[in-house]
Amino acid sequence: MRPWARYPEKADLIMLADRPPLLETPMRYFTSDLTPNDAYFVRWHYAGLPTHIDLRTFRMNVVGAVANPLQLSFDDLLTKFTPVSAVVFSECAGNSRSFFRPQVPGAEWTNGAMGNARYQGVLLKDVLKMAGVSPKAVEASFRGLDEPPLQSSPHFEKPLTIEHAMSGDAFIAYEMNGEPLPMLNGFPIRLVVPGWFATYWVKALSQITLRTEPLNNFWVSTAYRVPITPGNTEDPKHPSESTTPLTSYPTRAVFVSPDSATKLSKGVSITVEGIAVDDGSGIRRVEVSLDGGRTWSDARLDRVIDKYSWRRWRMDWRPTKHGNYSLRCRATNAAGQTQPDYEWNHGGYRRSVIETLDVEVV
Amino acid sequence: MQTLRILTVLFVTGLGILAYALYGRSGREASMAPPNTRPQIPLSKLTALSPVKDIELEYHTPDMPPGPGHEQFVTQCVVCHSPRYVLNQPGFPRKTWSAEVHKMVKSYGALITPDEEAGIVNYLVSWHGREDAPVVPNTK
Repeated sequence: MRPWARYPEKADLIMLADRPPLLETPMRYFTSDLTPNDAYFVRWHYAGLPTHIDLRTFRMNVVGAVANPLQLSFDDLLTKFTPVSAVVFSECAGNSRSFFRPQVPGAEWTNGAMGNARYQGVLLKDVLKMAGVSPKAVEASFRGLDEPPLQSSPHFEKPLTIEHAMSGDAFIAYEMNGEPLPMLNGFPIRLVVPGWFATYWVKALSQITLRTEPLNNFWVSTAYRVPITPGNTEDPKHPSESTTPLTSYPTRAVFVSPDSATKLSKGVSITVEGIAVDDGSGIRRVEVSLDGGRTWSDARLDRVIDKYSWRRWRMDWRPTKHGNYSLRCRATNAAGQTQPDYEWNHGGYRRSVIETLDVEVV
Repeated sequence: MQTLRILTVLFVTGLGILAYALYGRSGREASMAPPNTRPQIPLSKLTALSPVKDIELEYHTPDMPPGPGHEQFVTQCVVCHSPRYVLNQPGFPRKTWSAEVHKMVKSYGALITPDEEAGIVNYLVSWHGREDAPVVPNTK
């Protein structure tokens, strides 16, 4: 049920869907700091994604509540602004959806709809300043070149508040891991919103609209929302009536290696390793339990790569008994946020419950 | 005579480049540190040299099993997306499938009549789902 496929400019990835392509990164790629472009996960909403771009004619438009509407070419972005560069983590809002119980409809990702890459580009703030944002603007919204299949389908578009857009965090990337972006990851430019879910990272960015009224489309008012409850969790039998758009990453640790299919040997040391992420406050601690959560010990944290990057962690383990072990991992960030023991929401979004990894020692 | 001299120079130069390339791959350069992963040519030059990117998407459309409503499913749903979208879903109860199919009409603007919608739901339930659990009457 989880076949592999090789798409243009991509390695063999796990194919959840083929039109539009939904491609998941195998976990083995997450044992290095940066996720290669060809292995980076792919998610488009509509089959009408761009497949042909000519940089001589491509333009990114800035329209709406601005003093000077802009039509910027790729070359303008390269030459008219001060470049910025950062290593930033991104994750699909529905990553790990397949682990929710009861199961929910949507792309049934395991943990591979995420990655960590170095991006270079220009600050969104600098582009907006060039356009001269009206004091009446409350939001900037972002569209890409992907086209809805029907006239009646809502064009994909996501907004940021004007304060967020001008904060100096978000940028427009034209380079990913030192190369042009793969087409399926948003060539020629995509929005990077550090610390926020990838639904905001509009690919093949072609239009920024400054709005005096908040955008109210399907993608804002119906999709990508989580319940307004502590921990954004709800009772499957009585789903919450009140929801809010999901935004930043919850604090979370994920196992990368070993996987549950690997048989471990008694008396043989292995390294249990993984990644941890949060909203940019900074991962301060990752603990691992080898006994289903009864006792915990600290994992070693790798160096900090960048503010909005993931942080890698590892722990040596020499199993001394045969049998089944239930491992857990739990992250805590600088703001003291850690992970819940239980969560569920009807969209299968924003998973942050403590991870379990069941392994067998033979 | 002049032409011959030029041709000889070109031939020797070509031979030199070829020898360097072969030697480089097998010997000296093979033992050098791996090249910097950052492109040697700046991005601006790279994209100026090849300003067009073109990809061809291959689809991997699965065959869908026969069943009641198959006709509606294969004519309506695949207008917008691959049937693989359904293949990867758990076998949901009728209630969930009904809500999903209705979302395609209500939120995505699919041009599906209520009759066709019912047929599609029947197809999904029969092939990849289950009837809703009966409501257990309260006996107390």
